[in-house]
Amino acid sequence: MKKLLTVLLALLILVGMTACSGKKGGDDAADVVIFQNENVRKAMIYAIDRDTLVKSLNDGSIAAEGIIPWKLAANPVSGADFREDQGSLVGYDVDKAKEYFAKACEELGKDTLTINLLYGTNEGDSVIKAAEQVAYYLEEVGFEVNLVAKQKKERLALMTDGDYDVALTRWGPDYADPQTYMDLFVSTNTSNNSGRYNSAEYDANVAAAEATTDMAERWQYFLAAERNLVADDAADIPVFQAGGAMIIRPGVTGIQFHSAAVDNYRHVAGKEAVTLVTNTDIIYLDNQVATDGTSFIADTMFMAGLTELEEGGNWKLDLAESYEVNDDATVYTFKIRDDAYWVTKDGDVYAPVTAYDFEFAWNRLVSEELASEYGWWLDTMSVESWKAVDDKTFEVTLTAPSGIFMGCLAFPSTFPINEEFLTAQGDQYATSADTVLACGPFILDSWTPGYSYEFKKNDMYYFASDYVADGGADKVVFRVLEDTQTALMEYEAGNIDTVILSGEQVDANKNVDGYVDRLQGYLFYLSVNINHYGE
Amino acid sequence: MRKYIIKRVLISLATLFVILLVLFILMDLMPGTPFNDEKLTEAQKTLLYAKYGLDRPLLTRFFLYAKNMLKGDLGVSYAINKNFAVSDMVKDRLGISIAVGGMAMLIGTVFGLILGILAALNHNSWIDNLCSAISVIGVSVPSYVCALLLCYFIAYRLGWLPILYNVEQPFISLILPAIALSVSPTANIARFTRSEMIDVLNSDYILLVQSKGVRNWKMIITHVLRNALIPVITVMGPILVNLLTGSSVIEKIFGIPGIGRLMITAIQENDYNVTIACAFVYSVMYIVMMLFVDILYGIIDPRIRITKEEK
Repeated sequence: MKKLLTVLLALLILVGMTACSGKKGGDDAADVVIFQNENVRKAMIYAIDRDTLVKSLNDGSIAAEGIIPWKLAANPVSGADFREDQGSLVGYDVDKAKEYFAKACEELGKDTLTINLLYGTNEGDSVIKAAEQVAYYLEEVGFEVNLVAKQKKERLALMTDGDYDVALTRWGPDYADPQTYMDLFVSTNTSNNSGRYNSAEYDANVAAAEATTDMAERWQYFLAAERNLVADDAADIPVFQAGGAMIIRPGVTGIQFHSAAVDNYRHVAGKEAVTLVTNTDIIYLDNQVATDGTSFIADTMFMAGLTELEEGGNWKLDLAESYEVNDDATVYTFKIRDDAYWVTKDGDVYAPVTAYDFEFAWNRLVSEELASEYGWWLDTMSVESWKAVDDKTFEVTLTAPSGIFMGCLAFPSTFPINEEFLTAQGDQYATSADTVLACGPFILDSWTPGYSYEFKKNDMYYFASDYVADGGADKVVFRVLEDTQTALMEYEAGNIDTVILSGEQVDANKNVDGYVDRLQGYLFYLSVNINHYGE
Repeated sequence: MRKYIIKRVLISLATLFVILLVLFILMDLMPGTPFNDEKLTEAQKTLLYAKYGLDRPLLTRFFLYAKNMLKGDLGVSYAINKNFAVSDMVKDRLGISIAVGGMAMLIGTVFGLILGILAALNHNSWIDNLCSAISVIGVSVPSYVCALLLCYFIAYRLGWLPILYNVEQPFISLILPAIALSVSPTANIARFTRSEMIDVLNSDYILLVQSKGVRNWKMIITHVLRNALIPVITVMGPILVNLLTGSSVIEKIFGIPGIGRLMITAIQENDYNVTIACAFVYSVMYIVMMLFVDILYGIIDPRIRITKEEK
């Protein structure tokens, strides 16, 4: 009886806690307004010493100069990087920051301005370090800063609800075009524009860029939009672009890093069996439901699309043998290779890859039941409709010519799916190596969740013989390792061929043969809650 | 005795039911959802809630879950390995954690008992001091420090054992993690055994046994150890459960796909079904262990059984 009473009491306390917790945020109405003040935001943008900040991260990260990262997109006319054309929109100037701060204090009639800085504790060491440093720089200028440490999911939930002041967040580009960033901050995007930045000028520039078919003009609109967002309004404050330091065993070649697309490991060569390190496991093998880089890399290993991205980000045909395009560049007709096959785990041919597999896959991608996070992907590519004309002919109609269309076909969400196999597998589809089919250069040989996944060469894939001639690996193993210290020991012992380094390990290994300082596409910025309090 | 056991089993089942309900409520209170993601739109989130039945009221979900659970269906994972059956995930990973934990417990018990007995029998001598020093170090040094030291010296420098867990040679590659995990239980068991043994050795009935002329080793095994081990068994239960349910840190360092890591990831990712399953498995193991210890207690020490039955 006593025990029962204790349990009831515990439940009662629990219910009480729920009732009391309620909603936070918006509790200090006086503070809410401060981020609507432009001078507050400008003080913030000039306060941060980004060069020193990235030096302390020491992992190949670089100081951000705008919301568009380096190496994302090139000028369609001159080929110059977006950042070269735009120049830096942010700068470190304490005096200027203090000036803005003083002005802001005067306008708001306050002596102190408090910022609650939200950041994620399980988003990597660099995020924690960066948040602490940003807080330091803001305090140098005169702000009072409280660090609000939350798990990533909670951080995202708080941002969705508008229950935050300033948050250190990031965006990874989905494709090599400024639009992947610029779409985030338009006033109609309530999913990503957490601070509810609302600028008619910015919206107009982005809309104009997306409407025009003149690629040079489009470029100029995006340049103008970024200036609106960062230089004029300081609505979102760029901090740093993520790097990644790693060591690749000398002799192992063919790993292609793409800062604005999925890394390509298909051409790994130099050893018969290569073991690569990943710090996260595959979340979902289904190429149309997957959302994370690790799963996408796995998909590109054993599956293939109409095109593939090569070193430098240029596309080449993959499962498509040839293609034709009409005069106004709105209708593309692809001819699927005759020697493209679906292959089972044992290496047996299941069926040829047909245009119907693409039609089915694309219908599935946009279907409501699937609720794919990349359901909008075809829209981004300006795709209006698609159909399989016959077994080997796939026709795609665009709403307008698109400069990114062919490159976007290399993205896993657009890969084909064999309907018969998918139906036969039902709910079990893509939950193991046995429940997927290969149509790419490799076959998924095994997958032990949390431990490793292994690929073996697909002899039925059309470039298999060239691949062997180039010294390509027969077996590629991805080992899931979260701890960088033991991973480094394992690398030095010769058991794995790559290792990801943490900032602390960089100095000791900078001169090691095979050290790589790669620049990633992730841009970390401060999202400022301007108009989105207490929903 | 049977009545006592039946009563205990029923109470355990009721406790588990309450635990499940509390877990469900706590999950619901957790900030965020499994579908908080930069790239999901509101409309898609709504669709996903509907797809996985998360749009239904808490109690409906709870009873549905409890019903499915009786059939062995623990739902699917939302965020870690999407659409995987949670029962399979937990089963695979629990096996590895039990292997490491079991090995660690074995090492810990053997060395703990040896240290404790040695210390008690040589009370206040240098052996006692040495054993105590080892225990103190064992309790105060975190397992990850031991793990990294072992990795560096034994595996990396000397090359005697593999650095990381390897599916192809599970036994050999689990020795280092097991040693690293066993350090703290060794110390705890040693300390308990020592103090209990000293108490028993100083008691009147041992004086009686000694005066009756019973041989020394026989006295220690049948009279001293049997009495000294009763409290030790109580602490061993929770220690064992702790070890079997996996250590997230050790698993991370040695690259072991165990349940400790799974639970931490599940909490971070808000993967409700996986979190509930892991926490529930933990609870089941704990309660079963407690039940087992209680019953064992009765067998070792008849006084407990008799007093409880009288009540």
